[in-house]
Amino acid sequence: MTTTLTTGLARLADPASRAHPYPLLRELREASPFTDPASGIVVVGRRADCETVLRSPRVGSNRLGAGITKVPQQPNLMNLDAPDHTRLRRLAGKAFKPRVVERWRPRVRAIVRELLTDIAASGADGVDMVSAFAYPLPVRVICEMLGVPREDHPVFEKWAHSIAYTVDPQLVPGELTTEVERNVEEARAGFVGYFSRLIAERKREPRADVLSELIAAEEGGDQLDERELILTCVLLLVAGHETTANLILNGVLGLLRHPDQLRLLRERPELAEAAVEEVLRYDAPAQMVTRIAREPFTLGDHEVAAGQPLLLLLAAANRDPRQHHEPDRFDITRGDPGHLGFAAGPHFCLGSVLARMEGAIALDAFAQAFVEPKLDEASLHYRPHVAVRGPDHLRITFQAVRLDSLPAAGPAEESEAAHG
Amino acid sequence: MAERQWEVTVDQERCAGSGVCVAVAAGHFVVRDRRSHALSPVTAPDDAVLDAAETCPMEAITVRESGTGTLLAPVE
Repeated sequence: MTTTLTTGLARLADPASRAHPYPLLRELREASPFTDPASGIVVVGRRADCETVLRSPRVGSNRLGAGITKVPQQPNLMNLDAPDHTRLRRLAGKAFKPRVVERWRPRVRAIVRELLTDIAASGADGVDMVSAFAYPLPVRVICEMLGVPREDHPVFEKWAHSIAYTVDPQLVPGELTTEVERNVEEARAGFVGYFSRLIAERKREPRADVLSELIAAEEGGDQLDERELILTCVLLLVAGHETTANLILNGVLGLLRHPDQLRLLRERPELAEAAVEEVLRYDAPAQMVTRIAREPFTLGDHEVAAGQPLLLLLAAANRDPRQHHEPDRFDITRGDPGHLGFAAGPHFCLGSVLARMEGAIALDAFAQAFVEPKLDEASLHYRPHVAVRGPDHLRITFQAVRLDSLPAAGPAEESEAAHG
Repeated sequence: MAERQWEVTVDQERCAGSGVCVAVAAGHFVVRDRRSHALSPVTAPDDAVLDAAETCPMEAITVRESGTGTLLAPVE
């Protein structure tokens, strides 16, 4: 049994598992909670247990130096505990509140329309949805929100992929990571240099963007120091790059593999928001998160020791039959938001409202615009990342792109220049 | 004169049950049936409650001064 489970974590780490992790996640969930003997990590996969751990005051997120992640993390919103976490979350969260996000709806629609226009104009009968649709949408949105000039976007892509490794758990002790570490270091140095320059620029000439707001907080004194400011910018930018792109891609994939659901969404566009919830449950972009026990506690009949790392398999919990009826069925009419796609507790996804909006607009547009879309199965390829999981190539073929079927442009659907 | 009490409300339509408030302001909120509830709708002033209202990802929590109804959090 023990051998099988250890092998299980190694299999999860293996990029070959990336395309179809769910049978393995089911095995791990049903065996959980258990302590992996090789790594000492407590593996948690059942929905109720995951929720208990995420919400428990006995569990912390400050795992800096604990060796849980493949590459050591830097202090940011994801790995701080109160009171620093609360202070940073108050500041960074302002931009992602429902009322603020709602103002971006016309702009998100406009970007989606631009991307689809480009695809239509190419005249091709197929397209890679990663590079032409799912990735550029959230990147443009988060960069415009932050105030990062568009011509600088391409340089971030590689850095963002590298930084995304820092949330990958070290599933196999001693796993060789030299190259990954080198890339992460390069990305960190690149981002720090980049944002230092941009911050200096904005200090001279503030604009109406999130960066200028955060700078104002930094200059205001005790709210935020310069290092926190830079690391917060990096986190927002990377989180905005990776997770939402994967949400859109996992949605596109789910709809293409379940043509009845795609037809349903085309006929009933009002299901777009429910479809996003189902993607967050059925094929969550954030597959797992790590935590650390601050005090000993009992999970079911399993004793967790103080200081023990925990691996929460959110993607397994989202398919727990104790919570969800027929959990392996993709059903956009489920109307059951009881997933852990955004986790829970103090670190509940900061950008959930924006991610939901972008996801719903993108999936609705995908369903409406593409005529006879088909998945090119052979093209589907996943990034090696295990925690923030998603495709790096997903080609579809189609007969046409119908721009007239997209929702009417909103009143504020103006040119990009207005948003700087 | 004694300091005025605060009124804490959680909009059940907006609440997503994230539980950020429970972590930020321990003892003031509880998540039941996927929704947060204020344990004491009227409470003595405590900055943690303002933190909870400001960090709520759904802007579901409102804190007002008792009697005057002045909005204390969230602020725009």
